[in-house]
Amino acid sequence: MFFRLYRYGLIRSSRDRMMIFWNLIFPVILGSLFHVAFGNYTDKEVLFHQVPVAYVQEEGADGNFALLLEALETENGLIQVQKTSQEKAEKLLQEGEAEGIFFQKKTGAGEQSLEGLAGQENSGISLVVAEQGINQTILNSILEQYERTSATFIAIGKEHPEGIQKAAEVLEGEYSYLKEGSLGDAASNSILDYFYSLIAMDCLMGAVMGLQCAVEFKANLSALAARRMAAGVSRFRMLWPDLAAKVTLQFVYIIFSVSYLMFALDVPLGDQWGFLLLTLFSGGVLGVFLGFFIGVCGKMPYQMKEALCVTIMMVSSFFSGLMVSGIQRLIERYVPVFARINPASLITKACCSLNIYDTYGRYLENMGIMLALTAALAAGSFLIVRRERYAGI
Amino acid sequence: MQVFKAFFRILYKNKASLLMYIVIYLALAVTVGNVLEENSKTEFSGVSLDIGLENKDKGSLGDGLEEYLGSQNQILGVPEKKEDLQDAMYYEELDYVLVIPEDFTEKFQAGEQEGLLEGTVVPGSSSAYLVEQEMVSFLRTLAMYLKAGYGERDAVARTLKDMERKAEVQFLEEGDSQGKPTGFYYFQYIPYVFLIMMILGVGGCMKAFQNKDLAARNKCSSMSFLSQNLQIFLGCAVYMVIVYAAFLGMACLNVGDYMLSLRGALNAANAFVFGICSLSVAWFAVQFAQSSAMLTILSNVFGLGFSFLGGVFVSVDMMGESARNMAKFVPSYWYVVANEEIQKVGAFAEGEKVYQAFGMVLMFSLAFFSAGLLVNRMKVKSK
Repeated sequence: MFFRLYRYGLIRSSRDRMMIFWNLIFPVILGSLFHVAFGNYTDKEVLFHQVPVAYVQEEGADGNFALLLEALETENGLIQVQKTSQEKAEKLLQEGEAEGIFFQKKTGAGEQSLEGLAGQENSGISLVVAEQGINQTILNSILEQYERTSATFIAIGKEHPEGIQKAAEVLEGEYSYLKEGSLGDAASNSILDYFYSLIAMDCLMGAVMGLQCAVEFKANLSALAARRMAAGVSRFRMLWPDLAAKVTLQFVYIIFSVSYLMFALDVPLGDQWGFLLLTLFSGGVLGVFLGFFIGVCGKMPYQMKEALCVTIMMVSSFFSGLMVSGIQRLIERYVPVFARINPASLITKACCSLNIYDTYGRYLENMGIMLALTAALAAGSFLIVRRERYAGI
Repeated sequence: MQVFKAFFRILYKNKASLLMYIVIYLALAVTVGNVLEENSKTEFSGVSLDIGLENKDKGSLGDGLEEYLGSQNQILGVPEKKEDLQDAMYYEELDYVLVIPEDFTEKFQAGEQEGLLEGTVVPGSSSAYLVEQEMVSFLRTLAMYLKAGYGERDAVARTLKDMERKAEVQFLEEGDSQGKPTGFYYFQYIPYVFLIMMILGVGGCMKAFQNKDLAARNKCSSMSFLSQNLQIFLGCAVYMVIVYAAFLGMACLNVGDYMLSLRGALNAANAFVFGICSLSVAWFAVQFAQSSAMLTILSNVFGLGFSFLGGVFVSVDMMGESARNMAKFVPSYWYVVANEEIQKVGAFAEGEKVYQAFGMVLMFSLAFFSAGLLVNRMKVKSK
């Protein structure tokens, strides 16, 4: 009887268009949106578009900085320089057509003395900006580098002029002093966090399936359930095949969505297939039981329970980093208890751990908590529905 | 005003779920506002990180690097076991891990420049890359002094002194140095919330009125179609005002001083204009919804889709060229543009770009309303 009911449960559920959309199509749409929005980051390419900057140079000012800006524009493509007057430069900055203004005053040859350098007087170049952001940080970094390198060359020129050629060779060398270390075998990429959160949301969408299962189980929630409960078969003998069918279908939908991300969108989710599938399965089971628990709790109308399922799913996904990057780090730092019980965070961290760390300690911890949560939800649901009888519906 | 009253009776029937959405999204709006503000602070002024440092160097150059890093960050020890180290990074106790090998000074002085140090960035820590840049700058300056003929200690001392030099940065206007106010981040999140609230709230009521039997009975009534539609329109407008008032009230509680300023007033206007656009999107979405479940789906599709594409959650600057071009066809992009331009405005007369963005959002409202009318007409004709 189990397999008969299981087969029919699969057939019924697979014909539900709402479920197909929520669990199959919606994650694909969202994944595609992510890929369109910031898909290039997964290739580790730095998305630089040239930072427009205005350059105002007083007559007689030192020309080295202008050469640096020209090199950054033509060779690196980092900035786009517009040499102009002060008034026009300020206008460009106000209108947002330049991210900053490099303003270079004329400095005399004697002004850049060692004492002057020691006293923090700079080379007469200042940066004027209208806001604080990534582009302004880049311009600030360019100027800061120039100030430091100028000071170094001036000091060497005064004290060890014979070594200035060798010092210049260091600059031209462009060495990579840092060897990139890693936590494990795979490299990390912060944009992947969005895709992990998407997978977590996909798993939790099983809550809607679980809710439907509850509605078809409790006689006071639907006429179908009332008819089924009037049958001469134990309620739980009808429930387990239903739940098994929902879990199976949810798992199939998740695999499809994840396969789309990995093979169609080339998102590098790692190569530990077995553990990844286990994570997805556990996440799907957690989602289904979450929905089932919400469905059997209380006497709220169906719409309210559905709204609650969707809200929990979206809020849980939000705190795992689906919409705002960095929130999961803040939660981990300030509210670690919530990070441990948030279902979406658990799934996200389990997938992340697989991809980054070469040991399984953290992965097993997340999986353990997920299984514990699932067991708690299942036990809670069972306690609520056992020995339920209706005097009237 | 029977239709208007009926509209609100239907809304009242769904009050529990709508109230739940309002409360939760209000809480999320406040949370997101604070998180986005915190994230932005690290971009320009830099932030002090927790760096796990293991200095095995026998020479003095490693000490110099450690001193430099310690002047701007907290230096912590590195756990011995790899598992413990991974735990420390996993639980966000460290932002960056650096190991200085014992032959660092020896190799550096001999002229070896490649891959001397092993640095590991903790996943998710974008600020750690700035620290790496600073380290590279330190090492390059140190190498220059050593190559030029300075002794170890002298080279380290000079490098530390040079690294203290900062660029002279001035802000165009005095207020620019403060960074964006909290109100900016609070209002940044509004498009997502408004789209969902309008589609769920208005959509639920519109679905009821579009019910086949009910619509047929209404058409037989003595009330003109114009009167019926105007009352439904009024009901939608009042609902939008109620949701708008709730979020504005929260804004006043959260960032009260900001709301009393010029920028706060413009932000309030921006949110109102987007509320109108959300109503139009809701009207358009309702034409495709055959059930309340479908409405929930559409609210998330439009809400998340428009928000991601328009740059609400992730800045448009971080997206590729094609994504940025596509964003201009999404109303939330123009809302975000208006939000950014409002921060640069000093007087009402200076807000030309803001008013242009308002105009674009209103154009989108018209476009979605017209599209909804067209779909509605096609559905009626096909019946």
